[in-house]
Amino acid sequence: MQRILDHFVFRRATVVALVVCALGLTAAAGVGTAATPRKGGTLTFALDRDAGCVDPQQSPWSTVQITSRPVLDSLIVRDPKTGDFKPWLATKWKISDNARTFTFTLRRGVTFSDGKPLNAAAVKANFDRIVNPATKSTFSLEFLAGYRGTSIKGDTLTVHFEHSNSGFLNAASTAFLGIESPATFAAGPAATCQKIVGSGPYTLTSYTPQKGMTLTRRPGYAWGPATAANKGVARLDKIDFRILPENGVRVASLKNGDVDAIANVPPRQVPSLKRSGATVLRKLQPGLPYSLVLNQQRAPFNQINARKAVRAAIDQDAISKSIYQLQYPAAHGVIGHATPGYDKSFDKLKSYDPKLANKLLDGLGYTKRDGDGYRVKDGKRLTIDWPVLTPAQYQRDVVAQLIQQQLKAIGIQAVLRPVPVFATTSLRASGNYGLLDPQIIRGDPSIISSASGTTSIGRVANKQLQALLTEGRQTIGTAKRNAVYAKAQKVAYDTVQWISVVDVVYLLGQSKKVNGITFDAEGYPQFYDAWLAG
Amino acid sequence: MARRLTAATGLLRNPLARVLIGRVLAGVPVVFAAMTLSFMLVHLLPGDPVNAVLDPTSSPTPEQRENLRHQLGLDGSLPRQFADYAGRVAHGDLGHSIQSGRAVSTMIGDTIGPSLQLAGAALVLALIASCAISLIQVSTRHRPIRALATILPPASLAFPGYWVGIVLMSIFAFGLGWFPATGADGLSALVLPAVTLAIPATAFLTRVLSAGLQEALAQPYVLIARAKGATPRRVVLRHAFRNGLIPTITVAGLAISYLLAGAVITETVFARPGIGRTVVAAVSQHDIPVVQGFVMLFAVVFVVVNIVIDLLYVVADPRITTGRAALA
Repeated sequence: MQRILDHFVFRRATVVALVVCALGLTAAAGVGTAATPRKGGTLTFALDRDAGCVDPQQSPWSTVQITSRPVLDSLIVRDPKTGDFKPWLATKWKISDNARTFTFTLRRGVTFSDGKPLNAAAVKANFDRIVNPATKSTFSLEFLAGYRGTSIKGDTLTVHFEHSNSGFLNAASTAFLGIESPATFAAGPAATCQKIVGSGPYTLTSYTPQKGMTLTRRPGYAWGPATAANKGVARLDKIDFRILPENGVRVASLKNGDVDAIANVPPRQVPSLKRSGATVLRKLQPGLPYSLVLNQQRAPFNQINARKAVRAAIDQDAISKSIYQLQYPAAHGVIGHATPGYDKSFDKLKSYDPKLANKLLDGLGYTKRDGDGYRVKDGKRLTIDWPVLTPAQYQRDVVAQLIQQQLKAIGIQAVLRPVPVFATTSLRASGNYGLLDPQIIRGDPSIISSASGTTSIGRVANKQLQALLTEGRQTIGTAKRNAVYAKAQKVAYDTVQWISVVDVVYLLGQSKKVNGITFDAEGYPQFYDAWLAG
Repeated sequence: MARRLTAATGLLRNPLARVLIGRVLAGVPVVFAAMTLSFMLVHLLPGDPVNAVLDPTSSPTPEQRENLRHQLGLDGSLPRQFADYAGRVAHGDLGHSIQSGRAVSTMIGDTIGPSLQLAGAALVLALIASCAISLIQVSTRHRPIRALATILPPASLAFPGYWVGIVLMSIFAFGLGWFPATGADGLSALVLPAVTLAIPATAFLTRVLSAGLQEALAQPYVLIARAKGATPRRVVLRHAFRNGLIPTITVAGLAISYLLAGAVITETVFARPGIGRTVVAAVSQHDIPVVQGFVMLFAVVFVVVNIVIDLLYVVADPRITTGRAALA
């Protein structure tokens, strides 16, 4: 039901390239079972950036999610196909009815690579460390919001929260809450930024900032996640992560066999990579799609019809096609297609309707146009102040220009104002903007909460939506939760809390000899099942 | 005591030492200005400076904010903050990275080596190439070759650095396999990035050097040398070249700052660790202490390079100091 696989892609069967691509993905997913995995070899994987800190309990960067996942195990794993939770370090777990306490029973005999046992006390030490301000945690801390402590009893541990936190299970499955050896905590947070020690199938054996890191197989590993095909030790001797920041160089290095696989293939380079004989794995990432959020404190966008007009002016399909060569699909819903609990009925929606946009704006009294073709009312031009982050990622600056054109067509002037990334947090706090364009990767429908309410970019809380989101936090059980969040999606859509533009896709390039790289529920590559053909 | 005094006056009489002392003293306000600027960096941003280092998607606790404020030295009055900052910088403490917690001075120590290697190699290549091209330009009689030597350097400026880097990489690393494409292991990995960086530097060094040469060749002493029967080679190398070199020294100094700045792109393309990439990463990760530290570093490098150039002047043209002495 909460299909993470790209069912959406198959709908666009007319686009041959995508079908080929999707088939490539299916084929790659099947390889692990079709051929017998070979043991040995070093996989060289080129990343596009180095976060400077390898500890996911501190660093918010997605690249750390990728590099730390083979080193750290989590309590549970989320099945990317079904969205269900499965055992990993915890064999079973129980949630209290108000979703305030979570009890996990740990698997026995698990050790960290430094020889220390992974027991309930070790898990507690990790959570306590994350909430300690000295650790300077980012996302991990957010996931533990309202943490009141962990109590231990034998092999079980109970995590207590001040208020309902049904999203905690998903959080516990990510590397942000991956369990590190508490013996490493004494040396302070700067030390774990350079080296992390976990219980995973690989150990981090070297890290040089800007250059890369080497992971080495850990002998005796026998507690992989329930979702993996592999049950024993990892198949590769080593994983060599190299940092190649320049897109063209990364792609060329794969084509020439300098590296075996690369992260973040630029959409434009997908066809040439395929022609060279490489495979491109394509994985939709869940969460908040790349979206436009209007500041609802500013007139006329405090009015729902003004927001609807903006939505009707945005042609997502044109953006997906002309800027992302359809590699990033148009998003028409409220949350990403790959998010568990995504309401599929949004697939059929096409909000692009310039006629409707014009009608709505006429209805708001913006009937006249000035010499430049922009609508005016009471002598004031209809404008949106849009701070655009520089340097831009994923060609967002180009997207902004295309959207500027689309808005101009219905008589709205979008004023693009470049702002340095340093200023973003202040900007959000000040409310001095008409529109911002966020995107967040999160494998849970509770992501709607992060984008709603008075502290969000929209700055205005919708009572009905807030009530549903509170209900969502308190509800346990996948089906029940999804039902609540489906309602929330509908309200968020009807009241135009934000306008989704395109989904984010992880594009991974790999050579023919690479097998078994899979994706987790958040769409990040995983290497436990990976192996190299001889 | 008396001996020490003579030593001191002796030092002051030495023109080289006098220039050195004067230049170092002149460098102090420049470094101070750079320090003030890097201190103000965080205060010039709109809103609470603590926000500048926070990721917009994170929601820190008030406690974390206060810790961060303290860590950034942003608690207390502005003059107090500045005094603290200046005191720390004077002791060589440039603060710690927000992202990794590492000392900024350690980060500089780790990355400056590869960057200096790259900039140094590029400068040497650029100097050799520009000397060769300008000498060809003034001495050849073959018109097509002279035209080529004149057109090539400015034309090479038209190609962006990252593009040149990728082209060189695809020919010499991926195509011929002579050099590694990326990384910083060994001398062979230095060749392609150094060449990439040297090309634009060669272009503007050549321009200045050939202009200097042509000007020198038009001087009366060249005519006299020729009249006395010196060979063309002697005229160019002995008489004109030395004199034409002086403006080039100035430009070579500027080139060093340019090469360090250009290293940002070259280091990114060739995935070399270095100061350029560290700064770029720090900017995109809101890591203000690192950015501040590297602003200081660049200022110090700039001042040092200028001092060295001034000393080279004295060596190349003794008149420069005598002129100053006469004025004083």
